[in-house]
Amino acid sequence: MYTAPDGTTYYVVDGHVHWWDASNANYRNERNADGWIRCFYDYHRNLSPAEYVWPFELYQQYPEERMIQDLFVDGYVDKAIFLPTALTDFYTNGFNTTERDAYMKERHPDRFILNSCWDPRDEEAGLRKLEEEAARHGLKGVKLYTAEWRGSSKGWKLTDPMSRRYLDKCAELGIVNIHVHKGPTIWPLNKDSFDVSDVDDVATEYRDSLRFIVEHCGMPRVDDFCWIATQEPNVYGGLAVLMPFVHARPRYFAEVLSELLWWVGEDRLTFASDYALWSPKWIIEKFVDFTLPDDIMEQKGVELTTDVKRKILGLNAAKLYDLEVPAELQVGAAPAPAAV
Amino acid sequence: MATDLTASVTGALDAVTDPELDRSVVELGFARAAVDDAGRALVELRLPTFWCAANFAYLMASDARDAVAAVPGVRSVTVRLVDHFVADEVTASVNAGRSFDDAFPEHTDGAGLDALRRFFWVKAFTARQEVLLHRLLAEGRSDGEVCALRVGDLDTADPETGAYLERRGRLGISTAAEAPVAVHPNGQPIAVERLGSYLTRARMTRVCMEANGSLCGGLHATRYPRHEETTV
Repeated sequence: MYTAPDGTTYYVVDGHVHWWDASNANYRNERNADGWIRCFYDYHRNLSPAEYVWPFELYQQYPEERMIQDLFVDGYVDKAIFLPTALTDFYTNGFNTTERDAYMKERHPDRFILNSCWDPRDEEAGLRKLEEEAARHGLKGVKLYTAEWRGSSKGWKLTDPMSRRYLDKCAELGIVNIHVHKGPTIWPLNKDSFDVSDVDDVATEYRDSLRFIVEHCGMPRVDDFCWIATQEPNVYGGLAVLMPFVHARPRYFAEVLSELLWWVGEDRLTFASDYALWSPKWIIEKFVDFTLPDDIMEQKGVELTTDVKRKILGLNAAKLYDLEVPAELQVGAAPAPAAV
Repeated sequence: MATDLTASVTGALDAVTDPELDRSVVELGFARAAVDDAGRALVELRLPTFWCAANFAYLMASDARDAVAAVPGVRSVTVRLVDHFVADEVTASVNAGRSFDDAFPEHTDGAGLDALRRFFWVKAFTARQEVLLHRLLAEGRSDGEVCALRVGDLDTADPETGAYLERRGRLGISTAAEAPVAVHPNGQPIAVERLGSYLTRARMTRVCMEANGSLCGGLHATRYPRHEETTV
């Protein structure tokens, strides 16, 4: 929970966190493993306030205590959602695997929501594994990374026949939250690798059974994402990567957020730090303090009120994951009396 | 180093854009060039991340090659993509004049990059037309007046208008004086009653392109903090 300087309180769900191991000892394909974590590190350095920039070695591998401190002690987070990124072609033990996250979940059961991931290229064996994991962890969500390399394959699409088998299985098992991350190497390479149109197709097909949370709002195709989300009621926007713009690029943050509010709406956007890409503490503080410039509000006809911030910071994700939120943290709750 | 020729080559490179951002690769810091006394040009491409999409990297590399090769006095061009996950493949194929599909035969479907290029040409056109139409409205014209404007009514000496017309021309849309200004990417005029909703959507495209440009520029500056002080 975050209590703003004016006494207003916010329930916080961090919708996208990692506990990764990108240490040199875990490099499998050295060039790509190193290229991966250095790319993350540049995002981290570029958009973080200077005092929140980590040394590279810590960024490669951070201990459990650090993560707990950054999220729940310093970072105001009530619940954090693990979204694994396997990357087993790059890292010997994977980058941020379900197994790794499950260890953390076991030790801090009230703090984390454990999601798994699947890859249609695992075919029948992967379907069985998903069933086992659903039974073991009570899964309500999965993270799909369509651009992940696998041997000679450079990615897959949600509309692939085998992918549909997995989506059917998710619907059957009550794994209703499908988090999708688009990345730059999906097959075939001559097409736009960030294309989000396959989300449109499956969102229509599974309108009554699944929700599709498009991570990073499809960035860099936020415009195409908005166009889909405005037509598909079961498509949501995860704000990871866009949130830190609140500090580093406040004007663009205002511009893009107001577009998202206009097209997608305040009920289908979810906050995320993408930890350890960035730390939630400063993002939450700056976001709650943020106001849309007058010209943007006037031009686009949207507002960023306390209740809109409450929905984005936690209430929307709480609905997706059936989390109980105390009445005093719901929409419309008045600020507590200011502390003396 | 041939200083004058290097300046001409840099000028030619300046017309090459990142297809996704519709901004000059020189202005973005992505490309720089040097020419030796024998007229041999070397272009180096340094992109914001190791993972920038292979197809965009190829388009920038091959456009840079074509632009520099057309500069009088340049006898040969070598393009080098560095610090990138497919640096060697793109560098080798662009310098050999091979297509993208030839560079990645197992990972392409043989359709080439034309559809991709056109997809982003449409975005570039849309974003620039949005800026132009909003400016024309802000000058006090009604929706009806803006929809009635012809290309001949525009101040074509204005560089922004010139850049807009260039993006229009790429899509095969008429830039003749009598052609309507406010058009869809297929060249059909925008009906006056649709102008508002057209602009609402076009604005989103423009905002996203600008935000992407801001992110890519920032990542590039983080990755290469002193790019202007080093030489090829």
